[in-house]
Parts: sequence; C-alpha cells; structure tokens
Amino acid sequence: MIQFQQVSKTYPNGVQALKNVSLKVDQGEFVAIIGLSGAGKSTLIKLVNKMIESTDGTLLVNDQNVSILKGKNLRSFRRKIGMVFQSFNLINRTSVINNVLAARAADMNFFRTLFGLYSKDDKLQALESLHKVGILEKAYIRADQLSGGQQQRVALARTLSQNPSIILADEPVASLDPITANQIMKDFEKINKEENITILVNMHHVDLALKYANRVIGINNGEIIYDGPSEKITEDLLKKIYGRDLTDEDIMFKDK
Amino acid sequence: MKTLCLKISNFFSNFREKLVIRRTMTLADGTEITKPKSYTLLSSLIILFIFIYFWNLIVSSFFQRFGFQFFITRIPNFFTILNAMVSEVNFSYFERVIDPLFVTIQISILGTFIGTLIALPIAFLASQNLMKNSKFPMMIKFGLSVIRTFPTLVYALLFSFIFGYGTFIGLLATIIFTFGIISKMMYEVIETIDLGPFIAIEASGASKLVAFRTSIIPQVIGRFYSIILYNFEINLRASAILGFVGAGGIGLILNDQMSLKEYGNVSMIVLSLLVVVIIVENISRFIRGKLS
Repeated sequence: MIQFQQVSKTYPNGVQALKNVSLKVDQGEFVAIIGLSGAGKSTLIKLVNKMIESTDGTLLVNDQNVSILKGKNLRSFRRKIGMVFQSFNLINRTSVINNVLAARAADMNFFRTLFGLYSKDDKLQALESLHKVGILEKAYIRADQLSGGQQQRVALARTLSQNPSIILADEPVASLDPITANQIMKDFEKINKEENITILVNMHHVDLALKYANRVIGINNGEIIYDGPSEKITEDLLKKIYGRDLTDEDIMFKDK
Repeated sequence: MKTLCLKISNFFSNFREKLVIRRTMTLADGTEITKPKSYTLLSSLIILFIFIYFWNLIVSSFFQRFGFQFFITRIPNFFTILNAMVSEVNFSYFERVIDPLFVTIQISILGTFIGTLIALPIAFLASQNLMKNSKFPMMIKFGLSVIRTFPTLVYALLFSFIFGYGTFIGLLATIIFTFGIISKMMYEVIETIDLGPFIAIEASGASKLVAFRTSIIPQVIGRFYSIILYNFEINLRASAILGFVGAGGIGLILNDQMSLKEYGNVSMIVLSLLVVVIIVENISRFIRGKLS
C-alpha cells in the first residue's frame, strides 16, 4: 500500500513540484498518472522509492515511513520496489542476463558480485524473469543489440527479478513506437493481474493510460485534479488536467 | 591609479567586444538568425600571443647568444654521436643486460598491477557524478594532483632515503606513480559515462559500490584496459631513469656504464630497452584493437 498524506516537494531552485498531495493506492492496483511534462508526475513516482525526498507531509509505503529510511534500511526497502525508466537504463556493454543479475546483486555476497561469480540459482531466477516477459532467447546477447521494445522488456525482467510488490514506471513507453508501446503496456497489465503487483505508471499518452490502467490520477501544476476510475474520466476533466485541449501529442494512436 | 585601472579594463572590454564575433544572417523571407557569441578568434589570438612570447623567451635568446650559424653547424653532431653509439654496439654485453632487463619488466608489471588495484576504489570515490553531494571527490582529486606533481624519480629517491637501495624501491615508486596517473584517467572516464544504468541499479536497492561494480565497470572496462596497458608502457620507459637513484632494474647498469664511459655497453642497454618497449607497444596495440 502506498499512502501520501499531504506530501509536498519543493526543489532547491524554488520550484514547487507537488502541493499537499494526498492519495492512497492499494496493493494490486494499476494506476496511471497523467499530466503535462513538468506537472509533477515524475516527482510523485520518484518519491515512492525515495529517489527524491519529500519536503513536507508523510509518505507511507508498505507500512514504512519513507522519509525516515536511510542507508541499509532504505536499500532493503527498495528491494521490494521495482523501477522502469523511459530510456530503459540498461547496462549496454554486457549481456541481457547480466543486466537482470545486476538487479539481484544487492542480495548477493559482495565477493560473488565483485568477480561476477553468480550462483546457478541466481542465474536460473534471472532466466525465469526473462521468460516471463518472453525474451528468454536473448539472454546471452549484448543489451545494446536489442530494439527499444526488447530493451524495455529486459528492464521489466530486471525489475521482476527483484520480486517487487510495487513497480514504478517513469514514462516507460514514451520513446517507443505505438505498436511496441502497446505491447509493453500489455506486459504491465499481465504482470499486474498475474502477480498482483501494484503498478504506478507515468505517461502523457492519454489513450494508453485509459486503456490499460484501472485508475487514473490527473496532475496539473503539482495538484491532483482527478483521481478515480479510468472509465469515469471525461473530456472536460482531461481539459482541466492538461490545461488546454488535447493535441495529437497526447495521444499515441492518432487515428482512433 | 584608479583611472589607469579603469582605462585598462575599458581597453580590454572594447577589445573583447570587437573580437567576439556575433554574426547575424538574414534569410530570403527576412527572418534573422544570430550566431551565438564565438570566442574562437579571441582565443586563437591569445594562443598566438603566448606562443610568440615563449618563442622569444627560449628560442630567440638562444640564437642571439650563439647565432643561427652555430645551431645549423651543430646539428650533424647529433648524428655523429648516434652513429658512434650504433656502430660501437657491444652485442656481447647482452648477457649482462638480460637479468636487469627482466627485473625492469617485473617492476613494471607488478607496479602497474598493484597501482591499478589501489587506483580502482579511489577512482570510484573521486567521481563526482557517482558521489553526489559529497566532498570526497574534491578532496581525493586534490590529493591525486599532489601525488602526480612528483615524477617517479623523486619517489624513488625519497624511498631510497627511507629504505635504502634496491628493486623494492623501484617497485614502490612505480606503484605510486602509476596509482596517481591511473586514478585520474579512470575517474575522467567514469565522469563521462551514461549514469542511467547506475541509477537503475541503485533504485533496485543496491549500494553504490554494488551498483558501481555491476553497472559502471562493464561500461568502462575496455577503456580501463587501454589505460592500464598505456601506463605499463610508460613504466617500462621510466625504468631506465629509476636505476639512476639505485632503484634497481636496467637503469642501474645504464648509470654504471655511462659513468664508466662504456658507450658500447650503453648502446646495447638502450637497444635492448628499445626492443622491449617496441614489443610491448605492439602487443598492447593488438590487445587494445581486440578490445574496441
């Protein structure tokens, strides 16, 4: 469970990215956060695993107060939270399986990691994660030789190998073509349903957000404009969230 | 005095204004686009000025003192000496060169290896992009600059005062020198890489150290090998000088034979070192080619 209680974030340069945000996400929800770039979507997501620290309010994640987590506690807390990025952030010059193993390294003996001597069990787990997202046959190929969609799948497998209870996704499909984006969103949907993992995804493509998420949170200028089921969102609300009429840029499948 | 300062600063700002080019072009439909300020002309003039100044300082004063004629007539002397060295090579001295030569190679390999091992964690701590909001990088970088200020020879001399003479001194000096250079070269590489993977692994709950090992090392390892091989070459060349302060290796006999004015033997020593350096250079070029 994720619970924001009047959380605010002001950056050192004075920009107030989030203003008194309160919301609650239950285990197993698929939530899309929509809004213009700069609205505070990314800040909201990064607060959850303390990539960014809040300046005010309380944030509870899995019954832990995030703001007091530090060092070892913070790291073991992060083990249960996966993260997927817009630019995939794979380690390019190494194999796909090594990418997945890197996300398991935190649980391993440091000397094993230091010399890259991963145990058979760890390797098997990594391969299982790759299998889950249907990319097992690429396990021994260098990560930078894959297409964008395949790279994002590897990133997803990497995150899954942590056995997370929450997955945070910061614009995961923004640099993909529409077809691939759709497939990746389907992967998220599958993971959400089959493993009951909470998914918090940032996106500016409204159509994809409404299609896959059960719940939508609309943010404008650091404030929540809408928070509710994706079916109940209206043109008017979208206008409020985006502060203007929707344009082609906000929709991935333009013909629909 | 104040007005003078003002005049000088005015002069320079006028000067700068004129030299910093800002060109505006007009397109067919009247749209204007201005090229941003460019300091190219200004900086080339400054470099030219410095060059001429130094040229005057060193080269012109030499010619003034000795005359151009002197310079030209003395050039062939270089070849005379070279010729004497080559023609007098005492090949039979080679059996006396082998042992010190091996000692030199040992010092270089071991020194490069140990220096690298120490450099690796230090380079990690010195990388500003990995150590956000930390004073470590600044402090370490300063320390490394101090270490690099002294050449290998000075370290060897210093250690010889403390530990006496011998191969071990050469090794210590090589380690420190290698450490100073390799650390710098490594953190400079680390500071240019894409930080995305590091952030991703850190977000998975890994410590900075684990994230460094898993996400940074694979990205930089190829360039690190190049750096290490290059330093190995440098160490081999430096070894010739190391012996001058009694730090063992080929430099030791080089110093002896030079003071004995046995130029035939000196030639043999230099020739042996040259061959080794060329071999090592080619091996390392081959390996570097394979890596990239």
